[in-house]
Amino acid sequence: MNILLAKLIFIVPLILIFLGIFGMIYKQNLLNKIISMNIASNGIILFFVLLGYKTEAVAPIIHQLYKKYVNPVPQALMLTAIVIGFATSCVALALILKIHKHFGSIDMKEIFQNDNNC
Amino acid sequence: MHSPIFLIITPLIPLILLFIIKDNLQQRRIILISGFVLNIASLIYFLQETLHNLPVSYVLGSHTSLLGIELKATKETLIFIIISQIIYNSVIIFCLNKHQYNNSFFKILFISLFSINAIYFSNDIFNIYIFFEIMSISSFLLISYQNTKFALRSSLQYLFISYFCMFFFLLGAGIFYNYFGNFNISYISNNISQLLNYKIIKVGIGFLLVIPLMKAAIIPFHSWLPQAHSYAPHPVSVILSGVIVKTGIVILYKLSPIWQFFYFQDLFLVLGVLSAVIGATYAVMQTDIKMLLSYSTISQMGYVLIGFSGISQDMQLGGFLHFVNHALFKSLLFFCACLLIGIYDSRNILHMRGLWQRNKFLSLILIIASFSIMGMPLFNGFISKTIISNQLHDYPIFYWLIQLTSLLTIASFFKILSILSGASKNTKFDIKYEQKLSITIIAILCLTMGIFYKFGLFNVIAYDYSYKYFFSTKSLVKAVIFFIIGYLISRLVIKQHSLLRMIGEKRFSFDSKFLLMLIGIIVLILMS
Repeated sequence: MNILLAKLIFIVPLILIFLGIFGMIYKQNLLNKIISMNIASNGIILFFVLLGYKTEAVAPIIHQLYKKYVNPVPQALMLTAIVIGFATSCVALALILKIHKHFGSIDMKEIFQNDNNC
Repeated sequence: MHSPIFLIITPLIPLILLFIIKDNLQQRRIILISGFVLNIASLIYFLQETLHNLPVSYVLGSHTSLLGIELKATKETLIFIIISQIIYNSVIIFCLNKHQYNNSFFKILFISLFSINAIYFSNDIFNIYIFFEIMSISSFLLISYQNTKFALRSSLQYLFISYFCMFFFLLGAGIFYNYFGNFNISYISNNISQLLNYKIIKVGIGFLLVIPLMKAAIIPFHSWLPQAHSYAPHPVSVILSGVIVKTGIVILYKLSPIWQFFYFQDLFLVLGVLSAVIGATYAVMQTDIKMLLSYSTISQMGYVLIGFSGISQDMQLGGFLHFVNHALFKSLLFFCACLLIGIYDSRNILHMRGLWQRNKFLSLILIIASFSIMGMPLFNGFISKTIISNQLHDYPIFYWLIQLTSLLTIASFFKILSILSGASKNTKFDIKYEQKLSITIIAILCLTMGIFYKFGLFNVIAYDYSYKYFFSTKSLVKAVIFFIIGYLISRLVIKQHSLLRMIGEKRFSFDSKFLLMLIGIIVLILMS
């Protein structure tokens, strides 16, 4: 039962990723797009953390009471991914601020409206 | 043997110095020249130390390659590094006296050079991801540097598309980590043969290839490129088209020990030919000079992908040569576009006339660059295009499509060359000496690669290459016929029929770009 649960739990990050991708494609508001982007990115972080998960294991701080430890490498790698996600969101938000100044809107359709000048 | 790490961190030295000094031209010039000298010095040191004992493997922190971060340099890495250093340094020299590019511009430029060097050396998937993101973020900032309306919009669009594709790359990396317990590419390729039947591994490799194809702007992942490359500041366009778009191909090449076990060769061939034809077709309809060059980049990257599809070793050589040649002539063309837009104060080719009267130097450079990209004999594009199209003889449909592409390329660059003719009322225009210097170096390289093709690069890759068909009568006659037909097509197209203009200006909506990419990803997974 535990092993089955450990495999089923991978559905959660997949749902998050697909929700995020859906939002990135169908939401017209730029802020919504960024929120969806972050949801998908969190899904991937969860996916990596679950890769290192083992049932009935503890954090990898060696102690004689425990014999099973989770794999710390994916968690450590995800710290980098979190920072990169943060940086990308910052750049995107800054760009949106400037776009709002120029176009007076943060709606995708209005921004890409007169594409012939482009 | 610390030269790889020196080469990677050298751009960070002028970066730190730029934080210390004030934002004025004279101090900045000193730092930039010292940065240029440091780059060249570290490159020479690296070449001197590694040229005779390649491939070099260097593990940081004296771990084994499975535990530590491994840097690996092969003969091909040398070519990538030399070409990126040439283009970055020529851009630095080009912008030496420009007031509009202040300290922060050069800071981002040095960060992007640092990350590109790191990508070229890194041998594990996760490091490629990290440096790839650093490079992407720096290119978003560089594109939107001048805060113009369209540049901001195209930068944001590029950001969304890039980040969207990065999800899939990370998912693929996670799948591989789950099965191999490591990100090292050499380790994975040594052990993958036992797991070839696992469906999830096939999905993983499909996901990993999304990012290289997106960055190399291969159809259907190309939609971000035309706007991003044409609305970026001019020196940034040079870097984007010369170096950054090539990193996709570099990563594809780095991952090739993994994907060669799957059936991607045919898919890459089809995608490459499609990009070549569609890119050239769109290019010939443009009147905006930078837009034309951007679409032509898509078309030429198609050629490079055909070369790297790994059908035969000769084909790969053609891919490598076109990689280098495209970087040279496309950066030269974007430099020319920069100066032309400065002279005429317009981006429209139809408004530019009489360049030959106004500036002989720029006209000559423009002729060299255009003839190179057209694939005329004695110019560098000729060699690589001949190798690639001759290798396609087994696939007649693709062979003729590639011939069509080269016709359309000739037509679209005749359109640019038409600005030489005509009378000009305005006075002559002088180009600054440092701009002349950087342009001349790249133009000389274009000619050298075309005439002395037996030396230089061939010795580095160490292929035995004594082909007779380059300058045979048949290929010369073919080039002349193509030249004439291309000229006639350009005469037809230059009048800009309303239908052509309508097709040329048709853009996909933002949502459909994503859907197009999703279809591409599904195809990648199904084909693996």
